[in-house]
Amino acid sequence: MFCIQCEQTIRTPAADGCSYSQGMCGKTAEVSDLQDVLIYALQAASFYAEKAREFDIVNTEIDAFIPKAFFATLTNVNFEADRIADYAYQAQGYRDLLKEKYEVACLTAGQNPIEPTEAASFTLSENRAGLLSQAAGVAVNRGKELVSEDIMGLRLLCLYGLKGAAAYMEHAYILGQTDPLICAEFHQIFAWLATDSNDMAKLLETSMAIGTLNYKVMEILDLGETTKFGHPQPNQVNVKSVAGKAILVSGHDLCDLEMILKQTEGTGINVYTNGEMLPAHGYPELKKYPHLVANYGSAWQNQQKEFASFPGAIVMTSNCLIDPNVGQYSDRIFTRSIVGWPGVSHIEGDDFSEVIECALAQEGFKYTEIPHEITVGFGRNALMNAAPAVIEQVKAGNIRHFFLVGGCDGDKEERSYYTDLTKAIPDDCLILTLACGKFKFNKLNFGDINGIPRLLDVGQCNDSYSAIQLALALAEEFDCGVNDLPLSLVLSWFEQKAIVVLLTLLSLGVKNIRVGPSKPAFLTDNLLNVLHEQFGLTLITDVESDLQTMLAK
Amino acid sequence: MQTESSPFEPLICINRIDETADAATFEFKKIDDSLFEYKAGQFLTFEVDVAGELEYRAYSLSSTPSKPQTAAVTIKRVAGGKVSNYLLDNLQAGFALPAMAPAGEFTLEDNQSTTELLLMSAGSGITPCMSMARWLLDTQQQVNIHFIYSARSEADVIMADTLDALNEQYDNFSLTRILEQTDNPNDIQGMLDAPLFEKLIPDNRGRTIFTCGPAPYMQAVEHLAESMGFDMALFHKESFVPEAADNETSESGVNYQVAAPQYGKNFVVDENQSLLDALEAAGVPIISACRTGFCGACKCKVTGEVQSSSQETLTAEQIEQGYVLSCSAKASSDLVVEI
Repeated sequence: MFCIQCEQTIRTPAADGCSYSQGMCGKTAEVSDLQDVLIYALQAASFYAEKAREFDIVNTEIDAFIPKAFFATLTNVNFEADRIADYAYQAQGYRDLLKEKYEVACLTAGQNPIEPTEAASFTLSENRAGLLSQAAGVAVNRGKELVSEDIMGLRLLCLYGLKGAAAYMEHAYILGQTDPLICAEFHQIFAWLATDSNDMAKLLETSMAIGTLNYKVMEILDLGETTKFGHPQPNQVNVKSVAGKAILVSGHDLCDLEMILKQTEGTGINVYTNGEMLPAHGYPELKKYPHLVANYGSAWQNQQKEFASFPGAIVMTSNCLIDPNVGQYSDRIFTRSIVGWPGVSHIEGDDFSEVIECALAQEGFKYTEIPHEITVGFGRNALMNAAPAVIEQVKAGNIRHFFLVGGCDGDKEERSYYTDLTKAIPDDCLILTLACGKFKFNKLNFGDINGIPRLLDVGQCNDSYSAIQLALALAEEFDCGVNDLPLSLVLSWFEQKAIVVLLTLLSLGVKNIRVGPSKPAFLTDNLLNVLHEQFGLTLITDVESDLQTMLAK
Repeated sequence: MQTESSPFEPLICINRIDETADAATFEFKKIDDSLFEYKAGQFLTFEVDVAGELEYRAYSLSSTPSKPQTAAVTIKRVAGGKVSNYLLDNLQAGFALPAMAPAGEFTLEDNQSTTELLLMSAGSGITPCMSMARWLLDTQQQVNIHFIYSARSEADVIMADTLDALNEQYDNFSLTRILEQTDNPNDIQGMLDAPLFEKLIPDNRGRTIFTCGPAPYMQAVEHLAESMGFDMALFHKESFVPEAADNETSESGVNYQVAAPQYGKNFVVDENQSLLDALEAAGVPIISACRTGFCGACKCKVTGEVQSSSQETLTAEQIEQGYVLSCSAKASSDLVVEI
């Protein structure tokens, strides 16, 4: 196996990347290898999806499948070899279907079909051993001996960035949002990445194109969420437990949460959100359910302890899932959609009665803790509504600076930087946050500036779209560019969604972003220098000096 | 969170009685309705999540062990007090709060005692004395209790009704309330001083004194008892004061360097700051529970000079080796700390 996509990948003086029998995430070498094969098979399907479009042949089922299956290879999503292999065969079936239609259309039009790339003509072995033997040839770092580390780093930056965008495409699709132009561009980039380009400029350009593409994806995802569930409104969320039977919903899929809320009405079961589901409490069509009682726990890396203590059923709707056997709750956790863990029940369709039965059979919370309420729901509209008051306070000199501190959480000790930073940010500054990185500080009391809460929780990682809208509105009001605003972005990354959000921000021209807790292992020092020169991107250092520099802006 | 392995057991608050404008009694039961076992004068250490940060505070039980179905603590608001104020603002009947088993040695059983008792308290320091009085009277012990309680005004008297009821019901219980401001002829106006103490206790110097209240109050009582010739073997004061533990200590500006080489940490500590607070602030993974010098969880080995207010759980050998209770230790030189 070779996998270097997440922040916790093995780093040694000799070489970086997980390349032993198991990755740091718990993914076996078999699953990792099959994921490489799957990605290559998906790229073959994308090749023909792009070509078929020349004849207006668009298969929406395939357009949905490819990003979804690509999402299955994101960190902490799917650890089941069989399902990954099934996705690969399905991808090949779709490739063959599109290829046939494309070639027929070519024939009809009197054209010669294009010569397929190596990836596009790749044929999967029919058995597992064969698939695994194919893995070395299609590994994400294939041909590394032929190219510089910088080229390999850029290829991976693009592939992982596109994977993040694919995840958001799937989230949007579930909400009924898809866009043929987005799909077309996705297929084009995905297929091109399989050609293993050595062109540094083209790869850099593609990474920015992926960022731009993802901006459009986040836009339709925002549209999907707000159309279905209304615009988030500031809302108080209890983060303590309430006596009674319980279901915990984690991941990002608000539709699954809604179905669970509907199906548990009247059962006496309390529904809790976890991790990136916390923002659900801001949406009118979700917060209206009185049995959506609280958010339980913190970010994904703590689930082996927190889920172990949760006395009910748990549903993992998307990333991040980690080994449920460690905390001995594999018999009461359920996976959905692209998520999978060997031996864990997987729920297909819309019937959650198995989950409900499991919750009723568990003990439930025996007592109610003193409620601790935090505020969420500062999505796009709420931020825009607050903007005039914010602008007034800026003009009156009561708000000096804005910080966007967000991204993924993780378990490295260095991540305490984000807690320390937010604690150290002066009282006359506002902090916007999003994604699960917020759990490093979102239960602290930051107070307010003349009624404006100092900590504004914008939502999930994809809600960086909302934060961008606020920045654009402020820039317009103050008649300047986003980079001229007293705004500093400090991001934490763990997996590929964070990579694509970063690419989006860079593609929008946002400068001087700080990233931590460490540099992605696939980025070389040279590449980091390029990003520093072009965008002022830097790694976090220490709170005191970073804060001093940011406030001097 | 409700974890199985925690040394803390959730207690359910079943009743809240607002005693004064700034003090309330909280009555708890156990989840399984099992009985509380404790000695009058002991305290409960609660684990309280205040704005996402776990805090630990000990509060003396004000209830009597003779009615073990429930147990109660009485908490008073403190200027700048983080935990007490949080509990007064948020704890209501129906909510659970994790607590450690009752502990403490400020009890009738653990101290030399006679049948003539002086229970002297001030402010929220009334709680262990109240527990002792209720226990002794409820179990019909052959004792005489003189209960002397100091407060600012009548409105500040905690558990006034209970005190009156005990005074009414038991011949062997007498109550003196010393209030800084009062119009009530049954009260004594002023502060406890030598002439007043002499007037209140003209005779029997063989009485046992249990006292609890703010540190200056207890020092004053100790000084009075000593100067008036009480048998100090029969003088007992509570070693911690809950509300004092809440007080923000002001920094003196005198700093010492602390090194915790095991964790690669070097930091400064103010001479008024507890070593525990400084270790926590520096991110040293030290475990603490009662934070009042009783539980011993925050023990660490120190090279350098410290002032310790409690060495309660330490053996002579450990003290010799340099162990201190970090919650009760303040630096008076640069230190090297080992956990």
